Amino acid sequence: MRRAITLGTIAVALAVFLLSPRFGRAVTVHNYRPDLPPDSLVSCWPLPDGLRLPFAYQVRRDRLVGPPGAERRELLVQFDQIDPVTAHRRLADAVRAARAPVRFVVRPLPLPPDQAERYVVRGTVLLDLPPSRPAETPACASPYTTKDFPPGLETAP
Amino acid sequence: MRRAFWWLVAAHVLLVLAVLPLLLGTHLDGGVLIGDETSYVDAGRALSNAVRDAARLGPFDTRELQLSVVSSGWFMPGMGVVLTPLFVVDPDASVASVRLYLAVVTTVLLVVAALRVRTLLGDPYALALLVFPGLVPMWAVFSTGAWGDLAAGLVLAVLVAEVAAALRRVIDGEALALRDGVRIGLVAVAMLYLRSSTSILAGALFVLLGLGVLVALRGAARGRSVAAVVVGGVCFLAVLAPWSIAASQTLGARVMTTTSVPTVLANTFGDRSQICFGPCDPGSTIWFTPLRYSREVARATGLSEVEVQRQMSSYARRDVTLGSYLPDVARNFRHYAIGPSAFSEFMRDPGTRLDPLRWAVVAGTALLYYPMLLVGIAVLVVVRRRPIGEQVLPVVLKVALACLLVQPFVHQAGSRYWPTAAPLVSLGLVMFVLQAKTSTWTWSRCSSTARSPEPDGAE
Repeated sequence: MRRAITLGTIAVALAVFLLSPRFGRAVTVHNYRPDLPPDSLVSCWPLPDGLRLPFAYQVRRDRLVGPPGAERRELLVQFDQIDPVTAHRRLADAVRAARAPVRFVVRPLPLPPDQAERYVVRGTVLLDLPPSRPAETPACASPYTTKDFPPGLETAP
Repeated sequence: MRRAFWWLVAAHVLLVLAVLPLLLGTHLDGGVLIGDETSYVDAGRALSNAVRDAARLGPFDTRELQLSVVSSGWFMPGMGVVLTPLFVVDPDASVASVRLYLAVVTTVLLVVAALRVRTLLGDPYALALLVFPGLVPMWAVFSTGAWGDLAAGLVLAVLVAEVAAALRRVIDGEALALRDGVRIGLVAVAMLYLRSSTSILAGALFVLLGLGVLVALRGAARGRSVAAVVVGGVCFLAVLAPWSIAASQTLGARVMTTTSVPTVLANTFGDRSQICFGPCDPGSTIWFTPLRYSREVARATGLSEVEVQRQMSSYARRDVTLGSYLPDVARNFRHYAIGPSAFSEFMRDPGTRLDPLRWAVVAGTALLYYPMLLVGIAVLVVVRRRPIGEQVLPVVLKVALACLLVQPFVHQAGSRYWPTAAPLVSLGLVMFVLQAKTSTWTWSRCSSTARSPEPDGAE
C-alpha cells in the first residue's frame, strides 16, 4: 500500500513536471528588486556646457531655488573615493575647461581624516548652476531619478 | 493518545478555517499580500518558471531568478520553494489560493513535525505542539502567510528533538550512524532556508552535538559519531551552497545567508538620518531607500552594493554607545515578546475597529500566549538537578532559545517573530511537567549555594 502511494505520488509529480510548460508562465514583478533609476546627470538633466563631474558621485538633491524669474539650480552630490582637496581641484579644473558658469562648495564628511578613509563616500559638493534643465522625458519623470523631490514626500520614520 | 492527537489536528484545521476570513475577501477585497510576503511569493513564481524551463530542457531565465529569487539577498528562498508547486500548477494563482495552499502545507508540516517529535521525545511533547502553537489563533493566521518564521519554528522543533534524541543516545554510549548526521544536517538546513535568523542556532546545535560526542564517547564509537556529525555538517553546507553561490555571484560579494544584517543594524541601532552618509531619499521605507542608495554608490564606484551597505551601516553606527544600544535592545525585546497579535492590525477591515473576529483572535492568542511567555522565560533560567541524561533536553532547549533571542540584540524585532520560538516553549512546558513529579526545583542563581554540585557537572 505504502509503496503504491509513493509510486503514485512520484507519477503525479512527474506528470505535472512534464506538463508544466502547458499551464502557462507565472508573471513576476521583482518589486523587491526594482530597476535602478538612471543617473540623472547623464540621462535627464546634464550639467551646463558639457561639464562632467570628474569623479565618482551620486546625486542627492537637484532643485530650483530662489524667487520666480531669478531661480538657480541647486545640485547636491556626494563624491566618492577621493579626498576633498582632490575633489575640489579636479572640479575647479573641469569648470575652467568647460567655461561653465558654475560655483561650488566642497565639504568633507564630518569625520577625522583617518576615519574618513574607511568609507567610500568622502564628502559633498553643492553646485550653484544656471536654472535651465532640459524638458522632462518619461524616463526622467520619477523624483528617484532626478532627485527633485516634491515637498509632500516624507522620510520614512 | 492517538485519538487525542488527531482530535487536536482537527481542532487546528477548524481554527484555521475560522480565521481565514481575516486574510481573505470577507475583510479585504480579494485578499492582499502583506509586506515581505510579496517577495516570497514572487520567488515562488520565478522558481515555478524555472521548473517549466527545466521541463523544456532549458534555457533558464537567469535574470528572472536573479531579480525575484536572489533579489537583494535579504530573504532565503525556502518559502519560495514551498510555494513553487502551487505556481507550477497554477501560474496565476490568486492571493486566496496562496493562503489556502499555505494553510494546507503548514498543517501538514505541523502534523509531520508533531509525529516526528512523538517518535523522538514521546506523546506528551507531540500533543503539546498541537495545542501550542497549533491552537493559538494568531499562529493559525500566520500559518496562512508566506513569511518563513512559522514554518522555520516547526522545523526547529524537529531539529531540537533530533539533536536531543541523538545526544541521549550518545550519553548512553551508543554511536551515531552516518544517516543520523545526514538527517540532522538536512533538517537544520531546511530550517535555515525558511528563515536566515536561525543560522546561529543551527551552528550552536551542531557544536553542542559535536561536544557531546567528544565528551561522552570513546574509541570506535567516538570516531563513528564524529564522522556522522561531520557528514551532517557537510550535508548542511552542500545544500546551503547553491543559495550562497547564487547570491554571491548575483550581488558581487560573499553572501552566506542574507545581506540584510548591515542595514538592519543601522536601522535598529544607528542614526537613521546618517545611513546614506547623510539623509536618505524621502518617500520610501527605511529598507528600500538605503538599498537604492547603495546600488547608486555601487554603480558609481564599482564596489559591490553589499560592501557599500556595510560601510553605510558602520557610518550610521559610529556614535553608538552601550547607553544607546541597551535601550534599543530592550525595545526590541518588548516588540518581540509583547503584543503577539499586533500583526492582525494589517488585516483590519478599513473603517472598522471593533471587528469581532479580530477581537477573538487577539483575546484567544493572549490567553494562550502570555502564560507560555512565562514558561519560555523559565526554560531559559530554571536549572534542575538531575542525572545527565535528563539534562539533555533542557540544555538543547536553552541553547536553541537563547540563540533565537540573539535576534533582538542585532535586529529590529516585531510581533511576527514569536512563531519561530513558540514550539520550543511548548516542548519546555512538557519537560517541566514531566520532570516536576520527581524532583525539587532550584533557580540557577541560587543552586550553587543551596546545594553541592553533582560530580558529573549536571548543573
